[in-house]
Amino acid sequence: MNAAHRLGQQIWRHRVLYLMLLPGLLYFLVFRYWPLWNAQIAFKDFQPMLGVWGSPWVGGQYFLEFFNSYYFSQLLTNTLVISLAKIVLGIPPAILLAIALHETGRKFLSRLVQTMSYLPHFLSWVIVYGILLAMLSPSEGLVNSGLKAMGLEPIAFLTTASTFQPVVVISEIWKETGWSAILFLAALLSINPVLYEAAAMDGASRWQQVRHISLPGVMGVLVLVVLLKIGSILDAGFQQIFVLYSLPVYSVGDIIDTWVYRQGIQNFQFSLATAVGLFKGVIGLVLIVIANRLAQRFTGNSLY
Amino acid sequence: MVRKAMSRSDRIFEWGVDAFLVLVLIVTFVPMWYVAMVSLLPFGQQASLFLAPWNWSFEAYGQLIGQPAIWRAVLNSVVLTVGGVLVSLTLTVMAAYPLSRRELPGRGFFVGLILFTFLFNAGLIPTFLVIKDLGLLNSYWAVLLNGAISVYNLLVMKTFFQNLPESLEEAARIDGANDWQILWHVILPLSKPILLTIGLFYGVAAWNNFFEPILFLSDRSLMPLPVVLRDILTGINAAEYVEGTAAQAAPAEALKMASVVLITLPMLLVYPWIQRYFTKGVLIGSVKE
Amino acid sequence: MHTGRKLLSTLAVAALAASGGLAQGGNDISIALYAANPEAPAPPANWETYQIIRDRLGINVRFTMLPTGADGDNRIGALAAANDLPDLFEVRNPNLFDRLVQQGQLGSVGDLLPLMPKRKIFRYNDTKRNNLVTVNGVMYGLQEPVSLSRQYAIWLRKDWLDKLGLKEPSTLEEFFAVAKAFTERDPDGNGRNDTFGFGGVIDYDTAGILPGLGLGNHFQWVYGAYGVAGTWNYATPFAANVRDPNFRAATEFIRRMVEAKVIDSDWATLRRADLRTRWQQGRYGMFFESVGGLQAGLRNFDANNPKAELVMLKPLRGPRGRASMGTFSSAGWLFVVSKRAIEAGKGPAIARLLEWANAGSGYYQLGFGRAGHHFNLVDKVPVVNTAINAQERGSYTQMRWLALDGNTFELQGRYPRFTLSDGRFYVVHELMQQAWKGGWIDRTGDLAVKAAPNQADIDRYIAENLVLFVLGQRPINDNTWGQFIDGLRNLRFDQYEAAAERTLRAAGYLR
Repeated sequence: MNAAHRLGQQIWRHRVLYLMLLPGLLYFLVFRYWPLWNAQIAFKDFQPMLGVWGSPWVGGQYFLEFFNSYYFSQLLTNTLVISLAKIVLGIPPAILLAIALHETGRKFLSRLVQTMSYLPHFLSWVIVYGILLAMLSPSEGLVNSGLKAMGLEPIAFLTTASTFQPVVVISEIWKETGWSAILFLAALLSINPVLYEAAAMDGASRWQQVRHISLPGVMGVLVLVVLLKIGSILDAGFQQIFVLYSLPVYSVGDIIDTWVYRQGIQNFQFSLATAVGLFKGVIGLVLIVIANRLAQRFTGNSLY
Repeated sequence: MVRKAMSRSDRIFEWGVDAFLVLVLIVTFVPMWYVAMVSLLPFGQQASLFLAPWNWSFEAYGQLIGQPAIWRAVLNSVVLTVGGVLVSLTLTVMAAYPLSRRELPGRGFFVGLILFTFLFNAGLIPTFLVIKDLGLLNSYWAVLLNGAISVYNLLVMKTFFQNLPESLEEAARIDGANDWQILWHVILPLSKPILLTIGLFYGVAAWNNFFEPILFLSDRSLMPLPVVLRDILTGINAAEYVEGTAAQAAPAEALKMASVVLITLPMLLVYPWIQRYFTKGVLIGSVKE
Repeated sequence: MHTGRKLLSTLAVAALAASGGLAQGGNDISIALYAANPEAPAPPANWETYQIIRDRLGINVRFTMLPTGADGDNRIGALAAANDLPDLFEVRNPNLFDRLVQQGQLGSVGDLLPLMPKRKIFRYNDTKRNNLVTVNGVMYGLQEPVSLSRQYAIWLRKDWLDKLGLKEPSTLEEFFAVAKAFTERDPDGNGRNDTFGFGGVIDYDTAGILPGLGLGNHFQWVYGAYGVAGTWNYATPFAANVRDPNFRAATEFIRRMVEAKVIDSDWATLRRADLRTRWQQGRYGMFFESVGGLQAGLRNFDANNPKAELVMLKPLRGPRGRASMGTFSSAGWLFVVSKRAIEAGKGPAIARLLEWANAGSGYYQLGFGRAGHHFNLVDKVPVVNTAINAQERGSYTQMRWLALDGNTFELQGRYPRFTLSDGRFYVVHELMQQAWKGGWIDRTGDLAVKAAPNQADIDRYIAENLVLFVLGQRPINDNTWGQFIDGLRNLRFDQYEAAAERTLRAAGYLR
């Protein structure tokens, strides 16, 4: 009674804060939790005339349809390969860039590189697609002009199965390396300078300082970043693939999200699309919870 | 950092570091430069990395600017971007501040509620049904509200508020200020870097947004620039039965690249002004203490 | 900042009002059609036509323009999911039509036909065509007669041909030789190796012709030359054309063209708009284009290539003398009425509007604009006033598909003589009639065949494999081709094929 009373008092005292919080909470309830309720159509044969609640239940039929689909294993493979390649090949350049920015003695160069390398992060994939066209088009692209000047055959990078995945991964690295470096740079800046000074006194070379002070210093952030990426490993980058891919590269470029888009939105199978979305959501949630536990146990760092 | 006379290996190291940075600079810069060059390509000329300035042709830009549809798209994009930043920033600040106050009862619950939506997304169709039930289809409110709060931005801002010295709030409270007044007169003036940073994030996201407009809007006259750009680049809505368009004196590639430049330009203009704030803002917000 | 927000909410309210969500009552009708002129904006809120319809018919129309292509299909699909379909709208994707019927979202239009007697006689009197939109005895759509399909052709640069001293090709082999010469012998004489023999892209837009399973509209003529155009072989025994050895031979011919680099090296990523800009720039010796598309691009083409001359090729003959530009459907636009609209008693008003649009003043108002301003009637031909800019005319006539029916005077008005800067001219509607004679095969029945449950996978499997074969990323030999055909079984293609045969037989398309 007393405790409840005290809590009530506490809440009343903060009524202005709750009022402030209200619009934000409403936003999450309406735009994030209401869709969750609607997601039940994954288990229903959704009939718009009957509405979400009134449509008949069909159980796991749409999940099975997805798992049994002709392209299921290919989709899963492409999604995982592209996702993993982006993580494995994307993080080292970011760390490298952060260390270089931290180590260089030239303030101006550092600032210039930061300004330039963050910029692509702010370009949408549609714009990057335009840039890629300019670089890679077989008839006009810069890269192919170079190949032709060297007497080589031009390569249709965007429409050749063997070059498409590298293009996807490299363009992602081009776009995001600078931005990802910010986090690592922040970690480097928070390392106590005394450590470097002491190491220098002991005669450690710059390279040794990097290896024994800088690299361990970014480990915490590295774990967080990897964690986040693992949680979203089934998101191989819908917007990117959607603007870049075409028929000749479906076999290596089609990912779960693009399949859902074609099957669900273009073929009007809403329940199927929702089922696959739910499948992805659950896998992502499970992965991130596991990864978070592991990270907590082994490094003491956690995401939430 | 105090540096003694450098050894040979350290000199090589420094040289390597600078060379790497220059390489990064080139790799980032060249594609964008080439896009600009192609956009200035006169008809019948071969594209190259070094097009002499006296050969530059602004024909492609002239043609784009001469299209009323482009201007309408620009206006739409400006409305969506300015509106998006205002709505998003207001909602984010109002949610982040209470959540940054450790003594707020139920704070953990609310943060958990919000964090869950970050980890689990219901997907496209269920969201679309909500927009429809709210009667927001074909309205800018659908685009503005659906992505109004980014959980990531919210958490960054909350962390920033948490790191502000509490003594200032205490002082204001002793002077009899309520929470609104504290937020408005004490917190926000101190938060310029984070407001600009998060504002930039929201602004860029709104400026680049092309999926939600396609999904939620149906009138072509409401479409923002990215949708128009995609159409130009891919020719998706090129007319099947058009009865006459303007003569094309600029090469097709120039037109495409000019539209890429045009849509990037506003960002390039705003970016340097805010960049110095956002590194600072992100640095403070993102590192978990 | 305060004004900024105000502006925003005003715009949003205006957008909401324009969406048709506010239309209510038996005489308030929301209409959604694909853009008739995608490069022009939708008509403004104060569009004259709205007022005219209100005065003449007592109907409040709210019109929404859908983007052409998949974006527009997706819009309708999304509105359907939201149970928020417009009252009267257009469906271009047969899969979407099937799904809407299955979900019970479409109203029966049978009762509307007596309310528009003239339009019925003129447009909806063909039982076979009506059957395409009849499910279980209920007619769910207004299937217009065709207006403009079969207007595609291969165009040839006669000036280049003459310059190189070559003869107009009439067989695939001759075509190949000419294309090779156009690619390699610098026909434009600019000293650069920048021309291609043939321009075509992968395009499945079904507004004009039936692309069939495979590489799409632009390469149907090759399959036509081998006698395997379209998805199905209607002869006995019934089968999918893809199984025919001639299908492989046609694919091999396209492979030869790609290998010899006579097709634009970018072709696999190019879209129709790119194709258009490139032929207008004078980079192709031969290219695939519709008559309408040709007309739209002639001015640019003339500016860039003042001495050029284009002629239409007759469909090319294959090794056994077969020739066809492809398959077409004799059915045109499809308009449907939502069940909600019928239940709300809007049927009579819709019928009244359609009857008005069928002929006379309504026909001209929607099809060509205001008489004496946008057009003038000269000997029954509506002559378009080209002094008014194309954007304005296009915007004013965005609802024209409700009216136009492809009659001779209409074609003469819409496709008039086009005069080049040096006084030479093309009579575009005559070219149109010439294109119709391209040995087109009527495959209207294809529209009756229901999509397979995994149709998206089937479409993709065939198209993707053919592209890989043609690009040389997969060699064509007995082994690989056999694998390709065998793989169809995993997609339950046999069942799809059997169902197609049953449907076609029941609908009377097979003998």
